[in-house]
Amino acid sequence: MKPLKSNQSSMTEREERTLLLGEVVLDVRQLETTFTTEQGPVKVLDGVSFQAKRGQTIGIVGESGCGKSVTSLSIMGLLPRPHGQVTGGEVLYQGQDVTKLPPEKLYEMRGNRIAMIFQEPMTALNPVHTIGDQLCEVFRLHRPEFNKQQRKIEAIKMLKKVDIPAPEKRFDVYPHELSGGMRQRVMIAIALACKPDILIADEPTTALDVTIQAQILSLMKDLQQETGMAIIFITHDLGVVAEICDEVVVMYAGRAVEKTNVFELFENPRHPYSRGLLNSIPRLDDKPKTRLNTIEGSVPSLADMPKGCRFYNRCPDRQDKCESQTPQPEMVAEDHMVSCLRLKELS
Amino acid sequence: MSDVVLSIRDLKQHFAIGGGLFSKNKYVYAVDGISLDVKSGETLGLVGESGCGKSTVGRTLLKLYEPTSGKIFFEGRDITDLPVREMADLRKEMQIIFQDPMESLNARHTVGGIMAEPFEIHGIGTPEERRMWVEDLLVKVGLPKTAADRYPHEFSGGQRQRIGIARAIALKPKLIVCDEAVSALDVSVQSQIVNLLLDLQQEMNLALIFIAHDLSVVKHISDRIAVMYLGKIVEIGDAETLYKEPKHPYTQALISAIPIPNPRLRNKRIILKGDVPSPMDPPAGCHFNARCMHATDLCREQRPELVSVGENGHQASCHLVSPSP
Repeated sequence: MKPLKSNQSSMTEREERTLLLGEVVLDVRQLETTFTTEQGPVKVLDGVSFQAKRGQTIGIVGESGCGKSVTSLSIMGLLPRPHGQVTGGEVLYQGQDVTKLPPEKLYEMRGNRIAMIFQEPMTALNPVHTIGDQLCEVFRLHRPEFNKQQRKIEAIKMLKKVDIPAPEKRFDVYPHELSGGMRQRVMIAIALACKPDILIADEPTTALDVTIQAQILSLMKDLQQETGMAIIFITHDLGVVAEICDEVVVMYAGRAVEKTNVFELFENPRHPYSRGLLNSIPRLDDKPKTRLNTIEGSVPSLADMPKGCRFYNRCPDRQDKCESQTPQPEMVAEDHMVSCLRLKELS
Repeated sequence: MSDVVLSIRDLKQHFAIGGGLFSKNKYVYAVDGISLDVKSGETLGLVGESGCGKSTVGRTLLKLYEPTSGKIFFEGRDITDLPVREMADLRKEMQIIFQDPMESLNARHTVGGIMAEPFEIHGIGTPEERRMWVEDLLVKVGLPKTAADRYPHEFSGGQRQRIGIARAIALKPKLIVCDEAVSALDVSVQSQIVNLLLDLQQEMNLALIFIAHDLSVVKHISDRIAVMYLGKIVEIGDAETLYKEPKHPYTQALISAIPIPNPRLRNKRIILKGDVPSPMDPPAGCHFNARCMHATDLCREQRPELVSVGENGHQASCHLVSPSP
């Protein structure tokens, strides 16, 4: 990998950042998001809390429909309007609740202090503009003091930073001329152009091949070390979680069912869903042609949620009380939250 | 060997692109000389990155594409140049399951209608019999009989894939090509479908060709695995050996890149540089030389052949791996 730049100013800057590592930069508290549907309002997020810390990566993991992407859209104020709305809780950034910011303030923050990358860079990039233009656009919006030439210099610097070969030439190409991995690098360059405090990465490597995924993950780790940004990493892949995350929130059907550090989650999962999920991953050291462990059934539709614990109909450890009572988050260790009614009996 | 269901020999599939009145045609060398055998009851995994030609192999061997050259044998019979009508008859024996069941199931037909179609096309049974068979099939893949009267959109992704599988096994085929059949599913559902395929294979003695980019799933379901790179097989062997002792540097890198669900095993990856080169313009010598950390001058000049490198038909094509006697 590329060595870090070692000039004087960036060293002190880095030292300064190291001092602040672990500081909470984004505090998501009891976030609640509701979608209006034909069947009436549906709560797609129900009391999700986590913190993003400087220089650390927090993973949000779960299956389709668990609300992991809605979480990121709620933070960014990008929910589809008018159907989607944050109806409770708060997202604190520098003491301000970003879910209540007026649109102008949101524009200032998005892409500047909090940036986001998506699964499919081809749909996130504009096909009729060169990647250079799209990079410069970020500076045009958030760094009005830059003139045209400065913007280009900074843009090329960013392309170099994400290891795009021949960045001066790539400045003038269109997204379709690049491979999937290169496009994702461009997305990262755009997202990090203004040195955001927080990067939300929504399944950024899901559409990529494993070898390219490994490249992108290692790039993200390097850039995080260099800039000290907090990463909120949304994925369904527990292998990727193990690879890049420091802390993990396991989500199921709009609720956080378990939250802890990555080692604890993989070595001592407490929620039956986390256990089931970890057990059903095909592992490389298994014998070929053996049956896999599964979680029976599938995620219930949001309009038709079980009343008590939402995992009720698929849980191997369910009891009658789980059908009617809603489990509350409990701390089993300093940094280990589990939300299960049978927590004590099962451990 | 009598139980070989399908063999392909030196199969090539080149697609012409571009070109016009005054410019020469260019070719994408999607599949460039592949030989394989699949026995009944066996799963052959086909892995590689996007653009390596794995899906094209699957489609060409079913003759959904006309092969550019090479031979395809089904149960010993050369089907490469079989007339369309005879081929249509043979399709009873060979089926395919696609990645996205929503796209391969007709949204305007009921599940019962979709599943009765194979019987209708081949003129098997009366409508009552077909209805009965459809219900049996649904039960077999773990769906309620009442599913026959509902539409594809009423089902979840995993359930739709079960419908796709039920349709594929309707005519009791001998071979099924699974083209990324579980890639779009969530882990917990993916494992359900893998188990279903394993059960059906055992019950029906099916030959499966399992095409996927997820190597841990492929290992779970396959007896043997072929690794493809730019239209060629770079390594083939039984699943256990291939993962334990990968010989080709590409296989090694590919296996090493799989994120392992254990946070204590981080940072032990071989990270390949760059992307897969374009199959329109494959590099000279070994196709992998530009990304290979061990490449020598020989690799840049001469194309390596697939040679035996171990027991049970373990073969690799790399200049740096010493062949076994």
